[in-house]
Formats: sequence, C-alpha cells, structure tokens
Amino acid sequence: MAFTVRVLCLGNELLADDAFGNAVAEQLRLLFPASLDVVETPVSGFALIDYLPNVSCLLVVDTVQTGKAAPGTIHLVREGDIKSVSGCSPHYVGLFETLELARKLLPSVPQEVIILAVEAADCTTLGGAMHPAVQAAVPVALDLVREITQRCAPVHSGREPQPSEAVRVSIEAVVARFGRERFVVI
Amino acid sequence: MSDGENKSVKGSGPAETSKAGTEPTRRRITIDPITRLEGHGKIEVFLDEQGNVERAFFQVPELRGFERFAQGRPAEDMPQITSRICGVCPTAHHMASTKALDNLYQVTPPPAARKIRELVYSTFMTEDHALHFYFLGGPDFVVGPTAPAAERNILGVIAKVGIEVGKKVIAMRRKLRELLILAGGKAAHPVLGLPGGVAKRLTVQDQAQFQQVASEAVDFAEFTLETFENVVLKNSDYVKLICSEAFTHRTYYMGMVDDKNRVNFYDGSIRVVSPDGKEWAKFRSDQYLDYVAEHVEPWSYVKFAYLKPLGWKGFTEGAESGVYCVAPLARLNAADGLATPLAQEAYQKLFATLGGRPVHYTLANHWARVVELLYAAERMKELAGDPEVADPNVRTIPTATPREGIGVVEAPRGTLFHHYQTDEKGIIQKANLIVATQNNAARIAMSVEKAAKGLITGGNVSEGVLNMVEMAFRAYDPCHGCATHSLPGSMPLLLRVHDHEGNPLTTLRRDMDGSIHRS
Repeated sequence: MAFTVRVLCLGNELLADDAFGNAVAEQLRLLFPASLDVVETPVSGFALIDYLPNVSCLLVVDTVQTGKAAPGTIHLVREGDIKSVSGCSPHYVGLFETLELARKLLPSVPQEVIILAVEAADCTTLGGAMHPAVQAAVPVALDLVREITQRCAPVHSGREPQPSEAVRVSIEAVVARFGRERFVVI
Repeated sequence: MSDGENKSVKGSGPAETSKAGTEPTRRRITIDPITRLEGHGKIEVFLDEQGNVERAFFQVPELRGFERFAQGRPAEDMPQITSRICGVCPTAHHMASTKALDNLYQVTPPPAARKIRELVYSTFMTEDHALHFYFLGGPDFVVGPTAPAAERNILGVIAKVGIEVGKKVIAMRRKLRELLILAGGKAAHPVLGLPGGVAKRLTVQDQAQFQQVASEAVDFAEFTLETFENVVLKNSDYVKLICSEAFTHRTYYMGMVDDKNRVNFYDGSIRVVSPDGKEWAKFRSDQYLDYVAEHVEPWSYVKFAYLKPLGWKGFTEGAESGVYCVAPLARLNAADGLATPLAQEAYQKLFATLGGRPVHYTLANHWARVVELLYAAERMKELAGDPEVADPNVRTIPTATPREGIGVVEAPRGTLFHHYQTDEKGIIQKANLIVATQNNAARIAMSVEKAAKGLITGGNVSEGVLNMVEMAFRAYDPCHGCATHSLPGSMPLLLRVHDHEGNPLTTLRRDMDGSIHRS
C-alpha cells in the first residue's frame, strides 16, 4: 500500500487556544497541495474512530493542558512511546484508548500515529483570543507536516520509505530547527 | 468572574446544615490563587481537628463568556453558534436554540417539521446513550467496580462483552451518524433547525433509511438492556455499590414530560418531583425563571442552579432544600412512565427492583440511561414510520417582531435551557444558557464531599478517594467541554487536603497517564 498521511486537526474555533487545530488546518490548506488529506473537527474521544481508517500515518494536531509547561510548549508524542493507559478519563475516552480499540475492531488503522499538542493557556473563554505563544506554534506544526510528507513520499528508485525511521528523523529535524527548549518530546 | 486573585471562602460549605441554636464555627479560609483551573479537576478538602472532612469543594474547568460572546449577534445564527460550544452534544444545543427561535418569533412549525426535529433528536439520543453505556459508563460497571484499574477502560469492556459486540456498537453508531448527516448535513454541526421549521424535508427514500436503522436500533437497545441485566445486575458487588449510602442523595428531580407525564426529550412541560416522589411543580419552558435560579459560590466558576421558590439553603438535600438534579434517573423519577411499550416495561422493572419511585441512587443513572436508550430507539422507529414525516411542508415563515425567546430540551445529560433577548431586528442583547451540568452542580458537589468524607478519616488520605470521586462524577457524566484532549489518560485530578488551620497537609495528583503522586 502506498504510504499515506492524514493530518487530523482537532479544535474548537470558538474557544481561544483550542482554535489552534483550526488555525493549523487553515494554513495547511493554503500552503500544501490539495492532495494533502486534512481533517478539521471539533469532536474528541471515541468519535475520533471515524478518522482512523485507510491511512498509514496519522498526525494529530491538538491543544493540551498539562499545567506543567509554559503556554506554547509543543508536546510531541508517538503512539509507540506511550505505555498502556489504565483507568478511564472522567468524561472522554482518550485517543490512545480509541486507537487500541480500533485495532481490535476495525480492519484498517494507521501504523504511525504522532500527536503534536500545544500547551494552552485558556480553552474556556468563548470568543477569547489565542495566546501569542500558542499562535507561534502554528509554523512548527506546518514544518512537521512538510518534513513527514517529504520524507515519506514514494521514492522513484523503487525503495519503499521506512516510515518509522522517517517519522523519527522528521521530529528530530523540527525540534533542532525550532529549538529543543520549546518542546517536550515523549 | 474571578481572575485568579486570592479568594476567601467563609466557613460555610457543603457540610453545613442549619440547626436552630447552634452557630457553626466560621473561619476565613483562603484558597490559593492556583485555584484557577488550567485543565485540572480540583478538589480542596478541609479537615477538622480530628482529621475528618469538614468540607470539600470540587471545581472543574468551566466555559466562560457566553453572554458577552452572544451579544450583538443575530439570534438566527445561534443554532449554528451554540452547537459549536460543545463537541459532545451539539445537536442538543442546536435544538434548544431552534426552539428558542420559535418562541422568539412566536411561530409554530408545521407538524412535519416538528416530527423531523424529534426524529433527528431521537436518533441523536440513541447514539449518545449507546456510546455512553459501552464506552463511558461501561468501564465502571460492565467490568466491575472491584476490577483492577488496568481493566477499567473500554478495552476491558470489549474483553467482557466480546469483539463481536464491539463491532456491533461501532456499526450501529456509524449508521446513526449517517442519518444525522443525511438530515443535517454534518454530524458535528447540524444545519437543521430554523425558526418555524427545518431547512430540509425528508424524502420517502430518506424515511425508509430512517426506518431501517430505527428497527436495528430497537434490537440493539434491547440487546444492550439484556447485557446490562446479565453483566451488571447479576453482579452483587455492583448492585451493592449502586445502593450504597455513599452514592445516595435525596433531592428533587427535574425532567421534561408530555401531556401524559411521560418522558419526552424534545418538547413538553418541565416537571419537578420532590424527594418523596410527588409532583412539586410543572411549568412551561417560558416560565422557567419563576422556578430556576442560579447561585454563585466564591470558590467555583460554576453557577449552581436551584429551585427558586424554595431558595438556596446550601449544599443540603431533602424537601426543604432547593437542590435538584437532572439526567436519565431524574427524568424517570419525574415522569409517570415512558411512551413506548418496551421501554415502559423496562421502566417498571427498574423501579420495582430498586424499591419504587423515586430512586435516589446516583449510580442508577447508568441503568436509567439504558432504559432511555430503548425509549429513544422506539420513539425513533415510531416517528420514522409516520407518513407525515415525509410531508414537504416543513416551514412556517415568521412574521412577528422578535423580543424574547426561551427554548428547552432534554440533552442526554439533562435539561438544557436557552434564553435570548433581542432588539426588534433580532440582534441579541442578552443571552443565558443553563446547561445540564449546572442543574446537577450542587448535587455533584455534595457527592464529592460525601466521597471525601468516606475515605479521608483521622487525617489519612486513601488513594481510593480519587476513584470514588471519579465514579460519582462519571455517573453524572458532566458536560465539561474542556477536558477533551487527546493525550492519553484521564483528566488530571488534583486533591489537596488542608488541616484544620488551613495549612496544606497532603496532595494527591493524578496525572494524564493515570499515575498517582502523593506529596
């Protein structure tokens, strides 16, 4: 199967920093060829199962509030690097639980899943403005998409790209380019 | 609205009951400015001199700024805008908003439009309740309350019910969502309701698709009820937990009913029954301000709804207190029955098993939800089979000058109120929402405090308290839109215990990966 990439931008454009995913989606549509598979959605948790089938690599763009990093800090997580989750979210099923479930129940689930989640300051003020540090993370997301799509593009010599390695190198390149101190890489 | 400055909290809190002749000790306790939540659920616990819980305060992130956000906008945009507030119940907001517009413009939709709205709404309720049973509530009780934490997640549910059932749930969900897209264009942000009707009629082919899926949904709901009975009701540990005092509160109950006092999610009167089950009030949507008021506490951004005629008596239960609750159990308590046959049977069985109406066990919400799932599916089938639902006349054009409109529906999580005041051009001057969770907020606070009291004694803080609090919290399934992010694990939860002088004693923090840290 050809290596395909889908960028899943999660966000609520009404909720201040939670509009980050929407901002990234808007830029992706402007800057990348129409062939790039970009999904923009406000849904979360289990509903994300709708966006898993029929793609090799899923890059999820979202915000997060760990409370342990400055606003604008970029968390980069690869599915393979996270240990199994125990216990359920009080309200929503997390993405990784959904992925594990999908692997049992669906015929096709991405092999590579990467999450780029920006530390948000405010996701609760309706109509609120995006924090400048969160806004400043938009180019980082665009750069990661560029790196991954370029490195994983089909190679005309007939060699199949090695996605896992390509993703690792892409992440390294982006972190180096923007400065390690802006990131939390898990 | 506080902006993180020091807040002082007076000595009264959830635990106080006024006793004639005794004046409880009042102390000024300052809550750290970090009280401003940043994506954490936060519980502050204050101990007395014996190291037992004197009071506990529970805060969650709360959406702010709705009124300011709505001002200046055309009311006609509100069904689209408010459906974007929350990614979980967009259809509920959309529908309440649409009904508020009907009221605002004093226009009655034609019968076909009304039926289409209720059909779509029943479809949405079916999907939401089904999802909740298997994937949100399921981990608590399908797996079993004493199962290890590692199994109490959706994978544990699938392990218990089997992969085939898991596939069935996903398939059912997909078909229901396809119907929502058929009627409303998008599942996440439906474009359906207009003042006086709906945007699109249903063709005979559309109707046939609804009928087909509705039949499957009824079978699926019956199967789910059977699963519940086999897996949960036959587990005596769980039944004991449902009926335990720790998760019991005797409050008033509110729900929407039709003219025969049977549950209706889309329209009807709002009925309130007292803790002994007798009808206390029944009113029209536009009378809600006579019955519902909001109370502000200094330690929370949430506004606590209460029954206005009774007044705010604090975080107490019983017939004297204005505290009430909503959502599946409340709806069944507030009604005399359900309007469809299979669900009515299930309704009767629930009350017969749990000792009659009203039932005060918070955890019985999960059972009530399954009963409602059956009703929603049967109602969907009824409406889909009604020939009038394919009638092309789906709009009455409004002509009146707008001024004020109120719309109320039963969201999956409880009664939802939308209220708009506009100028004569329909531009919003004032707007208010009471979301389902605000109706439950006082009772949730009491549940959290009760859980804390049970598990923090003599200054010892058991880690099990986090699980108990979460279990109570989950039974209400509150709509706190911010805890929705995709990184693995739970909503971070912070529980801070203070000694009787207000000094920090112990902190339990549950991180996003589920690990618990004590300091």
